[in-house]
Amino acid sequence: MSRIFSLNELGHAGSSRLSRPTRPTRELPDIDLDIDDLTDSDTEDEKDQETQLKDAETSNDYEILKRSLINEEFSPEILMYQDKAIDNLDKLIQEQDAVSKDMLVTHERKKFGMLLFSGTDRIKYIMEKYLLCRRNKIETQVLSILSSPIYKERLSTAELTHAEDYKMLLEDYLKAELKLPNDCLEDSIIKTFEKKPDLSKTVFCRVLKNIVPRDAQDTAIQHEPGDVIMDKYAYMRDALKDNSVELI
Amino acid sequence: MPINTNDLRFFAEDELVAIEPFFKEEALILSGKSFGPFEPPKKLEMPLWAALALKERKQCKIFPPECLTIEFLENRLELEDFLDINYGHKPLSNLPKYFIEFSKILLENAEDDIENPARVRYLLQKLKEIRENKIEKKLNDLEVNGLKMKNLTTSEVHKIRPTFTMALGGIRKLDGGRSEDPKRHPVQVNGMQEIEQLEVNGRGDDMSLEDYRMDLDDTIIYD
Repeated sequence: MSRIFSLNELGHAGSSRLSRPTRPTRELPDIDLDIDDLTDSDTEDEKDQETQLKDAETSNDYEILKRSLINEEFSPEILMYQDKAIDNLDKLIQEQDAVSKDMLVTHERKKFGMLLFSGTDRIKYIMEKYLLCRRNKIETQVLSILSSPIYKERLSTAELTHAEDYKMLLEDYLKAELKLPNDCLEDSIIKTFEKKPDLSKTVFCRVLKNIVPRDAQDTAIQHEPGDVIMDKYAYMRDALKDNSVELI
Repeated sequence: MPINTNDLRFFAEDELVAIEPFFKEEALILSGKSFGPFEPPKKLEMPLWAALALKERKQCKIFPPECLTIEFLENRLELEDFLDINYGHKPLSNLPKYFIEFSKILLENAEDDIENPARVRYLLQKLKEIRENKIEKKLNDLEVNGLKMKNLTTSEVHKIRPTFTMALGGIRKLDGGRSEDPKRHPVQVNGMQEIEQLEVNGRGDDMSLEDYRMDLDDTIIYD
């Protein structure tokens, strides 16, 4: 099963409908870690600093994934897969699941256990929405994505496998539907089903760093952080790539 | 599943809010970020969703942010009017990204922690109306090259997206045969003069919208 289908691993097994986070009951993951291990450690400052750095990184991963989700939702083309953020958050979920399970059995810490459960569910919700959004885009634009090396590079290994499988299914379907012999499905026929990303789509974006407008004669004129611009995606593409703007 | 108002609420719930816990505890790590330690009456910041969960269990008091105080809102209302009078192009005052959702959630779930909630609600509604009115007027300034506005909140963008996108699509369709030149007189939504101008400019131009799009983006549109 491809990575993009492996949402079960992220804790939403059997749920095809995306729902807002609740407090599901889950199996206890095999990790022996307590919240005290992270906060009330008896080791020296060095370890504390390490934990703090890790905290900052994973918190940042959550923000990065949220931002990537919004960009992905509004961008007409597939964007770069956030493998590092997904991997880190996947690990964090496993850790938090174990900690919250321990907390829930201790009466005094139950409220914290519930908070951790909800926190984990929120991360899962964002991850699931992000992966589903990409899967949807891949399936819609599968032929265009697989024919472009740039787009192919933006997929995770599992997404690429899924795209290739999906393309094969599509070809099989076309053969059956058009009642063509196996070797008669010409590229030109397939091409008519190709849906390319509409780069002329109008998008809204918020400026994060100073950028020079595309029509400016004078480079002193700049879009400033906080400005909201409505324009074609094609013109915002480079700015989005270097994080000078975010889609909204 | 595109981003909807529920998602905007979800994002707003991640904003931080000050609380006073009614219990003593060590720090807690949520979404990879450490919050605490919880030592009453020491205030600390937590994500809104966590603060509301604790409040539901009567474990904390929420301190509404400055942007939900009567002084702040009255000040913002004055500022919106001031900007309107002194600058013809109707700029908006600066508000937090998820201000509208954030205020709604707090008013729905922690009304008792907000001073004079009825007045806050009234001021919020007024502020919302003034801003929406200004934004709607911006539709008249819409031109083929798009639009730039300052200080729009995410919720406001979400609300105007269908109308503005459709209007811009229409303008571009009308303007389709010609190249995008920023120095050219903009085509306005409600201007008769511009329509006449369009007819003059349109003569002898055989380029279709599809050709124009392909020329610009090298992309075939099948919609």
